[in-house]
Amino acid sequence: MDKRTLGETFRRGIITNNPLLFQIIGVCPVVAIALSVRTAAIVAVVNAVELVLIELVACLLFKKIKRYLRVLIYAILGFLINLPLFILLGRYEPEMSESIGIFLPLLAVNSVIAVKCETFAVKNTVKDTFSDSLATAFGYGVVTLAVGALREALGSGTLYGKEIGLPYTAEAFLMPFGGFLMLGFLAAIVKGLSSKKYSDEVNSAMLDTSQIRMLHIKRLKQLIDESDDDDIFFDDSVLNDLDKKKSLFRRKEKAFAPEQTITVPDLTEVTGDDAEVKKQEEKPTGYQPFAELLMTLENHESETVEPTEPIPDPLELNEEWEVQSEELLTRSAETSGEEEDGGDAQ
Amino acid sequence: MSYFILDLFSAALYACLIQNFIFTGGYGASEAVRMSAKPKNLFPLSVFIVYFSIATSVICRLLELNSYVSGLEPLYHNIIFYGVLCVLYLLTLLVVLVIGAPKRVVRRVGIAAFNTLVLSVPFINYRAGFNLVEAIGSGIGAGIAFVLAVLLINIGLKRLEQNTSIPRHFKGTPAIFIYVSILSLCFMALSGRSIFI
Repeated sequence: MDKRTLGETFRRGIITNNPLLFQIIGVCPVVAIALSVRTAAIVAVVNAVELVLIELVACLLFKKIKRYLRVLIYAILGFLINLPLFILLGRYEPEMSESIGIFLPLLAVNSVIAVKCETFAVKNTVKDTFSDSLATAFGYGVVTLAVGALREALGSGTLYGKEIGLPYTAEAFLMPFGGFLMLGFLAAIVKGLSSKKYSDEVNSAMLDTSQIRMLHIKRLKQLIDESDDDDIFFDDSVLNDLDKKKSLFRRKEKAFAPEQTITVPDLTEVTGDDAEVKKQEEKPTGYQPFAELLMTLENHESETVEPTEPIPDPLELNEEWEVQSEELLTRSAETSGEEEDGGDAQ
Repeated sequence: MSYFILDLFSAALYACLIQNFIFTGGYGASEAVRMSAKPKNLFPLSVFIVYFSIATSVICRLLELNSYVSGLEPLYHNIIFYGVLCVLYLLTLLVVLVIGAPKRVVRRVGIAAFNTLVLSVPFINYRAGFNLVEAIGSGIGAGIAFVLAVLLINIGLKRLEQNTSIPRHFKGTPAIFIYVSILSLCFMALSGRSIFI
């Protein structure tokens, strides 16, 4: 791990790398039981105790244990720490214990513990682990308390049990809907406030959704290979990014017209290779439109495609499809990024 | 026989749609959101989550058929539920390692076993007083609810990723949370609860 100061570690844990707001871990207890300041405080304290202790134990003892066994040990340790808290709460705060219900035992398997232990504790020194666990617990606790306070105020019209005289309260805020919504707005506020100084840190901490687009491309490739369903091929993002919607829809109509055949003379003219033409003829008709369409994407400056070079083998095109699509998407992402930057400057 | 199927089906449907554990309870919400961003891993994880939720649910309910166990205080039930899940995890791990499953799959077993969704199923069954058939249905419903949640969130994430009109500060996780909150509201509506009045 790169050396960080204590201030940096806490800034990351609380703001830019907040486990709840940007990494989306440990959400369940917050949306389910942080309905008031008191319940939120219990969640924050129990989580902090469990997180710090388990991370330290993991750092000290579990580095050489197999990962699949460590997961089990985290759960057992979590439960052992949780057990006395459960007994104490049941004895001294029976009403609170009842209102929290099954969620207190569930805190033992809170994903924030396993994730932080696996991603940090077993790879770092005790000192770093201790400061990281404190920062994470503090960041988690602050957000939990904020969500609890907001939900109590908007859902019950009270704050720490005292009336605050709101004219309207909505029960919806006391349901998971309210929890998710509050987390969303808090994440936006924190992101907005920290974007000037630490936008890179925030962006790198956020849940990576790039795989969705990658998978979409793979799915696309499969569909092209199968040559049956063309709807996903015309992905809206690709069309928007390349700003060639009209042109491509015209292509679509042409390319996937029923019983379309590829005329041999045209291909002969283009390729000048009879063997190649025969090869093309043997393929299902979906291959040729795909080749044309790919060229349209490549040469999207012109409305009509008049190939001056031999059309490559569609089979090879299919193999290269993913790479080319990724390049196109990257290009379009860069373009949109530039537009966004330009808009901000204005 | 028909009553058995009806009970099973209605319990599963209830757990999946009306009381969707992810959207109306928040159980396993982190795993669902994170998994929806990595749909490549959805299949092995979903299979294991369905398996663990059904198996834990059934074993815990079978243990509660014993009058001694059912008479215990809630604290001991917690211990039993945890114990069952741990033993089940170890046995599953053993099988997975013996058959030589890839590392990727072995990792999924741990994530699938120790999450709030799987562990909540026996607790909910115990509190609701479900019988054995309903407990099986609840386990199946929890697994299906997870898959449904992941797919719904995944569709939303794709749209959010492509949407260029989202304000800059709301892009990323804020938008995801707000999208999930709307889904949560939709499932709340299925339960028939009044939420704004």
